[in-house]
Amino acid sequence: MNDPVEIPPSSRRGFLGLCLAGGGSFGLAACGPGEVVCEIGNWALPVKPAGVFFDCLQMSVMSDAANLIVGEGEWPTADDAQVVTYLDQIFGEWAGPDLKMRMSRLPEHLDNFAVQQQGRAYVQLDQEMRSETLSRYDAAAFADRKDEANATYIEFKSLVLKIYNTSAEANRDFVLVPGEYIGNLSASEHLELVRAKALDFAG
Amino acid sequence: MSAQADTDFDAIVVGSGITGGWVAKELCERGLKVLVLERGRNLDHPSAEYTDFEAPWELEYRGMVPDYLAENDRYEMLRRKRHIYRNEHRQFFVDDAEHPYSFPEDRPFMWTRGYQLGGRSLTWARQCYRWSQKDFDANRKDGHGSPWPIGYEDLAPWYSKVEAFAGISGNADGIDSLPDGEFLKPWGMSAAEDQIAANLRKERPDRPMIIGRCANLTEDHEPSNAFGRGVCQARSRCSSGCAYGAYFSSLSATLPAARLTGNLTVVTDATVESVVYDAKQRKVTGVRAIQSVDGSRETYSGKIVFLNAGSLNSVHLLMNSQGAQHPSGLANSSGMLGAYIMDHFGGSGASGDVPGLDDRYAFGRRPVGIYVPNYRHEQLGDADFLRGFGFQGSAQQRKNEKPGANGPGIGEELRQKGQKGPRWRMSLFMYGEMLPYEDNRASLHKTKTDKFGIPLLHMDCEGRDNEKKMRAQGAKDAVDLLTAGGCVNVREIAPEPDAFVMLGERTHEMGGACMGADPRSSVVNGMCQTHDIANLFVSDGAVMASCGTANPSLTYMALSARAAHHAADLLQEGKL
Ligand SMILES: Cc1cc2nc3c(=O)[nH]c(=O)nc-3n(C[C@H](O)[C@H](O)[C@H](O)COP(=O)(O)OP(=O)(O)OC[C@H]3O[C@@H](n4cnc5c(N)ncnc54)[C@H](O)[C@@H]3O)c2cc1C
Ligand code: SF4
Repeated sequence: MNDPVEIPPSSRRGFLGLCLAGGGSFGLAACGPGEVVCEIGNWALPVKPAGVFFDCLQMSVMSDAANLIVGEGEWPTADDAQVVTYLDQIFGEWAGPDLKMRMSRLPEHLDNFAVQQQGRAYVQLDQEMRSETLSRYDAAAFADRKDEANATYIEFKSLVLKIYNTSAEANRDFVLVPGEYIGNLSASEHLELVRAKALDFAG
Repeated sequence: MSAQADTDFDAIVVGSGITGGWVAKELCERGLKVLVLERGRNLDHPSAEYTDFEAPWELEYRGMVPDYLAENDRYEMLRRKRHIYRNEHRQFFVDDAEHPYSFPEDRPFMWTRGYQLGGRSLTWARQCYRWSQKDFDANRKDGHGSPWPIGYEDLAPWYSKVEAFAGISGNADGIDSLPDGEFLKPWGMSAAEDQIAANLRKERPDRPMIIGRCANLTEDHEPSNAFGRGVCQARSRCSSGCAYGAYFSSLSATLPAARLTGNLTVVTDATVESVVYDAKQRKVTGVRAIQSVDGSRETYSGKIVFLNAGSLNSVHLLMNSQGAQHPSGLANSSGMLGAYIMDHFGGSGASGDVPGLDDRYAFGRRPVGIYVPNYRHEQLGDADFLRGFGFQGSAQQRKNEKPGANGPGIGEELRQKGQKGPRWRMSLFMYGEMLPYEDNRASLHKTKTDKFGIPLLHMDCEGRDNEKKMRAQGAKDAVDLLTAGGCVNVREIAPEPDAFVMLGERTHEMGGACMGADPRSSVVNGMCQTHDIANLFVSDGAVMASCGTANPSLTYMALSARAAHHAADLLQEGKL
């Protein structure tokens, strides 16, 4: 067991410098430390501005992946729940240097896979192709979790799900103080109680 | 009886957790001037450190423990308890890196501690079960460990006393191996649990499934009103601290009661390093403590000393109080100090879908699960092991409205996976009684010390063949219970037969200063008084001579209250 060591939260500027030195990713060269605008060129995916920790390429690719992971339907999207925005806000102080390094390379890994599979970088694929690519990448990642890039993607997905599932948007029926436990209710009886007691009912 | 000076008391209690709180309350109520010494920081109640009123999205980092801590090997063991390793209550758990202990590389030991006023009474899961005579008979029956010098009848009135004050919810189930107590109204079962319990009553009448008994106030409770304790609101946020004071802790109940007497002094941030022994009088005269703030040392005097530092820390303290007359530790003429370390063990169980209840829902977050008491006290035909086991568990509702746990698939595919199967799934986890092994030991590390120069506690223990066999049977029984209970898609949880049985995982570490009638083979007598030194008492889990299967803290409370009154009697009679 080691002595406790406090890691000071890295600044994005300093850290991205490190990250670039570690072998830049597609588009990253155009989006250097401290810059907030990406050279979007022929990107097909929605562009997000740079965040506190991640640059705009990383924000854009991660937001896109998070939306695909959570999916679209009658529920809030990952964007609605501000999943990647939240991740970006905490990442500088929450993550350790190793995870910071690995997570910063996620777009690069996706690009490599996309180029291999579709002949184009991830950011250049249309929505359908991105979904198909991510789906295949996901399957490959779970098939070989020991690979470092795959493990990073699985970690990213786990963070996305945790942040999404704990968001106010995804918990519109959350009851902070139920006041009682009743274990055998019909759907309508249950709904009535939730409607009466939820913090922000939207059921 | 009165205290002579700031450092001079009738009684000194080391530790303010579940057992220290009880001893302090009882001794203060008997009129003794009591000093509680606590190594951790002070906490008020309710405390600014409680996070029970924060919604999931309001919690710092959404409850995720900072990743950089793991990257720095912090909380090495707590990280393995994934359901507990949460940021919203991390402040109530000890980081091994800050307070190290040691174990052989191939025999890890998990030591989950809470160093603050109130100790682990803040974070415990509050399950409270009386032990039965069968539990107290176990050592005598199969010849392992030191036979218990007391039986159920000795403890029964003390169980009643602590239950009546703490507020324990439960049902009078009338089960031989699990005596009933003074209960507040029980929590209800879910539709799924009710259905399984009913099936088991028919199919496996010797293996009843009951609602858990726990120290959460399910109704207005007169003895708790004086301390402002309120009724439980079914939030299941207990280990974050409870501003309602609705679960029993030292902070919500025993320490306030002790304070009411005007006889209590509490000193926090004071780590007791040793007990002071006067060879001439053959008595202890107090303790030596190190103040965390500046490392200075202070000696406190008391007519009696109670060690309630949480089993292993009490053992550690006795060992570190070695001197010329007792080179292997205080109160260790038997050589048994540190021997017979035990814990409940598990690792096996089962889960299964509960059919036919897709239209039934539960509201609220019940802070307790179900319980299957040990039904294997008597040797059954299929048992190739000694002693027995029970189960704890609960039925969970599938949350169809959110994507499921992290697994293969994205979008619709991931969501569909979360929705597969009926609405309810039931899980059972085994709690086994291990045998007391003399050579499962705690000792002082020969070279390594902590920041104060105190030798580290070294743990060298493991579950053996008997426990591995029991664990295998536990998985089979869990499958059988769920199947007989009407579950489908039953999945067995069974580790490799030879997989290491790590102790400490269930946070019920016991032994090390075991109780017994014979001073040659035990450390304390039936009243938690050390055989060697009349005014030195140990009344936490260290004194347990066997470990039973039921969560032990209610028994520690009863033993502590009983020991405190015995000590006060002796003091009054001038016998100490
Ligand atoms: C997550 C969790 C769930 C649990 N669930 C249950 C359950 O459902 N049912 C059950 O029966 N038990 C449960 N337990 C176990 C229960 O918490 C313990 O059995 C109980 O707290 C023991 O009481 P204690 O007073 O001996 O020790 P503690 O409550 O640990 O208190 C010991 C105190 O002594 C202090 N101390 C230690 N060393 C020194 C020293 N040298 N000088 C001064 N002070 C010192 C500590 O800081 C601490 O405050 C659980 C524990 C945990 C962590
Ligand atoms: S479940 Fe009850 S005891 Fe636990 S935190 Fe909520 S109100 Fe308090």
